[in-house]
Amino acid sequence: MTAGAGLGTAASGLIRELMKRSAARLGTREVMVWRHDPDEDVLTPVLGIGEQAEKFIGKFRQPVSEGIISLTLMSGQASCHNDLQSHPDHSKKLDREIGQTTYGMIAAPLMVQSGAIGVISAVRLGADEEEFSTAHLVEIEFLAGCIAPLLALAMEGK
Amino acid sequence: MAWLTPEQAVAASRNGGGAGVRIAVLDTGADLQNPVLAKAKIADAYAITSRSGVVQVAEGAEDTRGHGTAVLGMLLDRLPAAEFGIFNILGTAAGGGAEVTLRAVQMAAERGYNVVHCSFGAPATGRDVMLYKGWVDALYLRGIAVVAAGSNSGFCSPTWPASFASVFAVGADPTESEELSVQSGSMTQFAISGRVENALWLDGQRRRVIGSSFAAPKVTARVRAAYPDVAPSVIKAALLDGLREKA
Repeated sequence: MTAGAGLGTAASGLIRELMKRSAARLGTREVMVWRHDPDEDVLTPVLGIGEQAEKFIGKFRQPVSEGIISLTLMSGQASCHNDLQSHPDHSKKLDREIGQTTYGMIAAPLMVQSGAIGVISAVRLGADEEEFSTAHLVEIEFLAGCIAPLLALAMEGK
Repeated sequence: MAWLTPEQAVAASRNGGGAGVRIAVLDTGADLQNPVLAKAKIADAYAITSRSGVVQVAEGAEDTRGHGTAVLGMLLDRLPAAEFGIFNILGTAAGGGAEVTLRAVQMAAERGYNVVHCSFGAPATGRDVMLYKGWVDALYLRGIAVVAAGSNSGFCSPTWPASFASVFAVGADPTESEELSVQSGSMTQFAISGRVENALWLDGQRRRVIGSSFAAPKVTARVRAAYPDVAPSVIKAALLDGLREKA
């Protein structure tokens, strides 16, 4: 299942395809692209694959001042957290909105020539699913490197 | 000119200590109320922000994110005798914002730090390149080592300051080896496991984390600690040689 929010372009179609192909290697069905809105300093989900994606794309706003996804944007570094439920910086707001428990998250910044434009994340929603590892981190960095210029194009309506 | 052999460099990279080393940690601040970090020798703690293009400096470096607390905890664990300066630069913009980072680096150089630790990567924009190149080169000329987290894969976009040649750029080893190695063909030349099972975090908690942010502290200042009179450029060259020979 795929979903999008205002990015119905050729580039966004390619982004979704890349996300689908990487999802298997990431060991997840839930991958999300977040766009940074510098005026309001929030991250909003704009493209996603997975059953949960439709539940909150276009409906959720993550303040850059909190949450692991925003930490990825600020630090400019991909990172992986496998024990989210005890993580003080994990935004429980999203879990409440989608009615799911997020056990693990992996995220990488989306960077282009003009700066950081968003974040790509993948989540582990089952306690018994395989934990994220450094190999997954490498995979999501690769995916972020492919997607970032495409997202910039999609944001321009191309 | 002080020198060291590749063998000495590799051996020193496995040890630590930290006496005589002063490390400026540019990150999200640090939770200095944490009992573990209370043991750290903290010389400075500042929060540096930018509002409407005006850089502001305030005393104190409270960490509301946990990232900087984890990094300082790792550094303290490996270099208990080192002295630290906490510069919270990640409060207002991704990668700290070039002007904010520049101010922190200037303050660190003025205050006599001999290592600048950067567990962050700022977007490698053309707009900021000369700002970053200016301070990276200035620190190189002063013999101040810069250690920075870089890409784990080599596929993602370059980041500042990791993508400058004089910087000790460290990525998370995909095999999660705790042995330092060289990544040929990548500007992130060093790799070591970025997995930490019990990183300090906020509220006295510990977290399992993975990322190059947590690989870089394993490298910072270890060689510097053993050979304080040797220029960072010499240390880097010897370390690369030693690790390649080992491989």
